Amino acid sequence: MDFSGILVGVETTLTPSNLLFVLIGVLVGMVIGVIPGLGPTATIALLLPLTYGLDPATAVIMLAGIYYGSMYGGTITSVLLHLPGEAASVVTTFDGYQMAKQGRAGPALGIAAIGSFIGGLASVAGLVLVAPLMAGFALRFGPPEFTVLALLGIVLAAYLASRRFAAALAMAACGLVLATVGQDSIEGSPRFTFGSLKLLNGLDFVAVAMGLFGLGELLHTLDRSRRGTGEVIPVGHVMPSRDELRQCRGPIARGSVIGFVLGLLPGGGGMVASLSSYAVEKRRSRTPERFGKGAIEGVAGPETANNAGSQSSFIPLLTLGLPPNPVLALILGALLIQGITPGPRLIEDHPDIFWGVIASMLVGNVILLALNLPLVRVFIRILDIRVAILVALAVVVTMLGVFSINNSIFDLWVVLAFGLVGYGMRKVGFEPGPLVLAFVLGALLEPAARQSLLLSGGDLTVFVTRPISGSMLALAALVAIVSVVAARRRRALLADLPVDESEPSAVEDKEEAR
Amino acid sequence: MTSLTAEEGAERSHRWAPLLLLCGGVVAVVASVRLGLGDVTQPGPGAWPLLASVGVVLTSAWLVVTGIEAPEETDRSDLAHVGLAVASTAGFVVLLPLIGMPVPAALMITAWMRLFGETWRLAMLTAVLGTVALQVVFVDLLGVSLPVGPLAPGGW
Repeated sequence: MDFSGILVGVETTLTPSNLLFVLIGVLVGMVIGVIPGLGPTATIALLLPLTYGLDPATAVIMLAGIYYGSMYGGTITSVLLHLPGEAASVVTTFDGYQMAKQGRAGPALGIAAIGSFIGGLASVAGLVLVAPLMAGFALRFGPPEFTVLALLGIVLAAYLASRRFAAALAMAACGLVLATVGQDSIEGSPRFTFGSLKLLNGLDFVAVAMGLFGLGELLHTLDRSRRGTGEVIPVGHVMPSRDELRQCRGPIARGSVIGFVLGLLPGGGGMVASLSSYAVEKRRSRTPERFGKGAIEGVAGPETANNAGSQSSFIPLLTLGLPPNPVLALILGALLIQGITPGPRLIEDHPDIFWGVIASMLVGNVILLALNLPLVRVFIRILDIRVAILVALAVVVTMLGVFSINNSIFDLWVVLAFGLVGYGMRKVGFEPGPLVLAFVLGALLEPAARQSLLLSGGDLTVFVTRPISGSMLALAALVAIVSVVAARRRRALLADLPVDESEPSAVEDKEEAR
Repeated sequence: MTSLTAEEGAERSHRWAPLLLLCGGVVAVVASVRLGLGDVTQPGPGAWPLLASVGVVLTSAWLVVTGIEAPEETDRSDLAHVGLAVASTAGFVVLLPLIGMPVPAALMITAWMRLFGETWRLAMLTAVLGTVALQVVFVDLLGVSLPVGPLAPGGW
């Protein structure tokens, strides 16, 4: 085992500026995790322009911190207000809120923090072991393999992470079409530009993402009250008792593994991991009837899994260049803006980015443990801030942020248009996630597909007959079958979960954008 | 898997959005064909867009047949609010290159705050303090060059 890589990462992380940005990232993540309605996807979209001037490693370190930081922060409102701060914490409302009602809010938050921390560390260990192997394997990939994997990734992500498969696929197809706007990458002829010179370079990724996720989400907050009742349940002591800790040993261990493995799959990440862990714990329990009524295992397992999953979902991006979910698609976008295309060569060409992100997760999780055990009461105060102030300021930040990238007023109109589209999509039942995922990947997919055909002299079987692409397809088919079965089980579980009729929003959000 | 009853679900089921998408998809198919498809050995600029837009057509046609459920009720006052918010944001985009950031930003913040039902006092206070803070962060700290605008009184 070669540890020189992780040493490079530790070195990268321990520079004062990177340490500062880990801190900023996890703090921002915690804060937005606490604010209901503003998830990691919207926040990362909002902050993309600000990463423009940063060193690429620093930028990714900060964005990663926001993602897993929000996994910790999202727990707080789930437990105290029965409102998930972000999608991956929905499961925590089931037992966490019940624990809070029984006067055990403190231990619920405490075990979530401890579980997240252990899951985070386990995931980092897994990243160190698995990522280089995967990158080594992926070095043998050519354009046909990339094409097959990326397309399968989009389809699987659409299936696993959405309410309606057909609607998600439709959005993914739209994303692929939108990605072709501008000059054809091979022949240079303009496509779908309607004669506009400004569209010749294509739609700016940040403007599209900030419109759909940022402004679209902000507009949505206007007509939907997700502010809760304002009655925050008192927390009391945070450390779980020795008995509770013993009860949670199994769920935390299993949650780490489930989270890590599911984070690797397309459509994976925090949300799917937490639901699966809940399902597993409930099935394994000798007293499943306690679930939904304040079982601490129902908090410990999912909270461990969502953090482990959010971190391991970096592996497909860092080693294959394929983002498994919309948050990672945004981070891919941030890297592409910096002129870096992640893929199997990243570990060789930019070890500071590859290992820096992994090592920063160690530091980030330590900071988050500190923020969540002794300092958790400070974050609860955030719930006192009025949503209107946050949203109004976020709108200006969105617009100024997009403007700052190209100094272009045209981009602001793109944000506004996609903001309106994003809002409309949410209202009629489409989700923006698959669109953005496909939009980012489309720019890489089309050249790969065309190169494959050039390589094979027009033989379409190139996508299935090469040993690697063929076995990838077989493996993917296997993964697809397993995931579909698992997703059905999850959906069945969702169907018979205890639903508090007074909180319809929490139930709907379960399946909402990731 | 939502808390909707079957009736509510049926009420919110609709076909117009997929139909709109289907029309867009058909337009994209036609436009792709016009771009030139090339052949399998040498795909033209329209080949990939054609594949993607056929994807749009097939999936949206399926949704036109089966219908799609809106996840939540929408009432008219919501839409009016969103319309006003979009209008105020559009106003910001129009004014930004003309008179610089501070005034349009303050106006937009005030508008959004009022749409949330906050008092004029809090709205204007947030607008003033928020604009100053954003000016400091974006211009002074991050060094973003925002337009001053030909109509601004000497800039900020």
